Amino acid sequence: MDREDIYIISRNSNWSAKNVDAALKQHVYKDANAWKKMLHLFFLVLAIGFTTAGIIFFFTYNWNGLNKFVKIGLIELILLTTVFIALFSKMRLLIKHILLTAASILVAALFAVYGQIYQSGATLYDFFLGWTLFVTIWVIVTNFAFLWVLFLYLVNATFTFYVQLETSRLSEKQAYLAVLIMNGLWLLLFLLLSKKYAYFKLVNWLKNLVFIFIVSVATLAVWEGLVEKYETLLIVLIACTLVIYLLGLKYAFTHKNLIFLGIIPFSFIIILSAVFIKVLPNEWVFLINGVFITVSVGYLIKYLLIIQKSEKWQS
Amino acid sequence: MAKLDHLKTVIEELQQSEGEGFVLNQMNLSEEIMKYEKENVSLFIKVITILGGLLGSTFLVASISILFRLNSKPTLILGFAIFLIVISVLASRFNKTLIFDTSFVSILLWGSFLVSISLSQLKVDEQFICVSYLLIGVFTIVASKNSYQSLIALLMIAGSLFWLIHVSKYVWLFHGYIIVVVIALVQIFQNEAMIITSKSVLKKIYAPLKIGLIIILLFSLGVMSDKSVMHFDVKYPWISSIVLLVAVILFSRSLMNKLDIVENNNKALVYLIGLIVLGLTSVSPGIVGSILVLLLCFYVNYKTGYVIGGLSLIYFIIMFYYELDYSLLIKSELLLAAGALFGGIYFLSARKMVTDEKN
Repeated sequence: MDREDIYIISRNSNWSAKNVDAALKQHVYKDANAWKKMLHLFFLVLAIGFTTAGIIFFFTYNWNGLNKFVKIGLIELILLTTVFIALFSKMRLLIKHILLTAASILVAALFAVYGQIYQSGATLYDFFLGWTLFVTIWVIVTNFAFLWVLFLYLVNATFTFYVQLETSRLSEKQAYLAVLIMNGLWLLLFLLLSKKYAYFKLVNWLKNLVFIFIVSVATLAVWEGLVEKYETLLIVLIACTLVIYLLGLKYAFTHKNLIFLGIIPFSFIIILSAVFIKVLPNEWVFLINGVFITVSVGYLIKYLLIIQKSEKWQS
Repeated sequence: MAKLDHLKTVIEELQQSEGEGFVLNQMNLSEEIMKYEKENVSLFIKVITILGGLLGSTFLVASISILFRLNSKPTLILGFAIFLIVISVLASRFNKTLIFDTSFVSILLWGSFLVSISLSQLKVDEQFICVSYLLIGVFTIVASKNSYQSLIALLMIAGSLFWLIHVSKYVWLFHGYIIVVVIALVQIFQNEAMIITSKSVLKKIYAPLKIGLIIILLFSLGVMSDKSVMHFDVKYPWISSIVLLVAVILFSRSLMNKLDIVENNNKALVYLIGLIVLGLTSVSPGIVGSILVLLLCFYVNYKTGYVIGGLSLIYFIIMFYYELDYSLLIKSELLLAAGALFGGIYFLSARKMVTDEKN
């Protein structure tokens, strides 16, 4: 019996307050064991948190006075210890993966300190490029979902900084297109090969996250392209988006993935509202858009709910 | 249908244990279960509903403002805003579609926003705007059947009272405000059974009331101690700390009964540690407040509540140390001392748990 059950029953019967209270205390409220565990965890977290914070504050206080070799050496020492424990200890695989994730972030700290000490004049692009390259091997070897998220973020960030800082030859639309193609190919590669090789099998949330990201970028790019002045590249962008969406729908139907199925029509609705704005640049377009979006999203949800209930799709 | 079967077994057990006086309204029950299954959708669909509702209603509100050229006349905007609020609240009583639920919440928000814009264009007193929000909030709570609208209304009422105190001369009323919120919070959480079996307004708004009071308490405490944000000059912040401390102590008495900490020595130890830690942090009532929220919500197993309480505790502790006026070295020593204190408590309690198990 959980809380929802108790609420539903009490709303529709003459269950007395005293007995509802007893039922809640027995089935819903936390018992003494849960309290003991919680308080235990609470004090442990506080102890570790305060001690770590104290150590960090201590180093921050003395940071400027430290020798530059000590600074770099300290971070390298922590980095090496982390990787060493990850490689040679006998802990659970998950903990080793988490340790390597921490190590990947320490790599960034190392580069940052290096840049701060030697004032090498490196830009954000150089920083992210170095970080990405040095983390790639760990990402490929561990095949850990969180590391893949970090890696994809780093690749996209490096590319963005490249476009912003290093070259002015790529226009905004070309940059969007490149991002779509890069991430799309990565996802496609993994999804296609996952049937043959177990290595490429992705966790559900990672698949969904990457696809939602791709669709968001595509929607944003097409919306901007439609609302602004017309460029021929817009056709290429729209074609690319259509290809991605068709492949996504095919995947949704063959693998019963509700998120892939739902986000594509939603993106279409938003793009269509941009088309309306382009075609009818007067006052009435807002009214049309308002009604159109509300009604079509309403029908989309109805459709998604029916599909979800009928065939047990994953979400 | 899994829910229906599960409930049937539960009800059978209940009928056995309750005896003959227990009467069940079968028809309403089936209706409710169907409604429950309809509303139990995945997170993804909920997010799409919210985004779609927001976008659609925003376009609608913007379109009507533009079509009727409402920008020029503030009174027209005010009338339109009141119309939006009334429509969204009343329509929520009859609504059965998911997408309109979110649209109505968003229309209510737009209506309230336009009320403040039009009133400020009409050069009305700040206090009058606060009172108008108070009225909107009360109307929504009484008339709406949508729990998100009730939550927004609750926050509006609390916010307008908060702001009224702020612009008045009686700034010390803040402590009265906090006292009222704390008493309400504790009563709501301790008397869950009594409220949900009664027939009052509280029962209808119980869920938004829980999360709403938590948000109000933590937010007010946060704003009170953050001198930079709102230029509050709330004197004697420790008054609120004392109030909260009293609440925590009263609550921990019933808690210790539950945990079988009966010996007076142990009880005294718990009180002492509590008093020391909380006394040192009395400048920041947020810490005591977060601990109260954390304890209350954990007691009733309200997950959202204790997660929020935990996160806000972390936030308030960080702000407390950030605003301490000592050098980094002394701060690091304080932090290490605190770490040692809690580590000590942890090991003591671990040892006690082991000896308990041996006994």
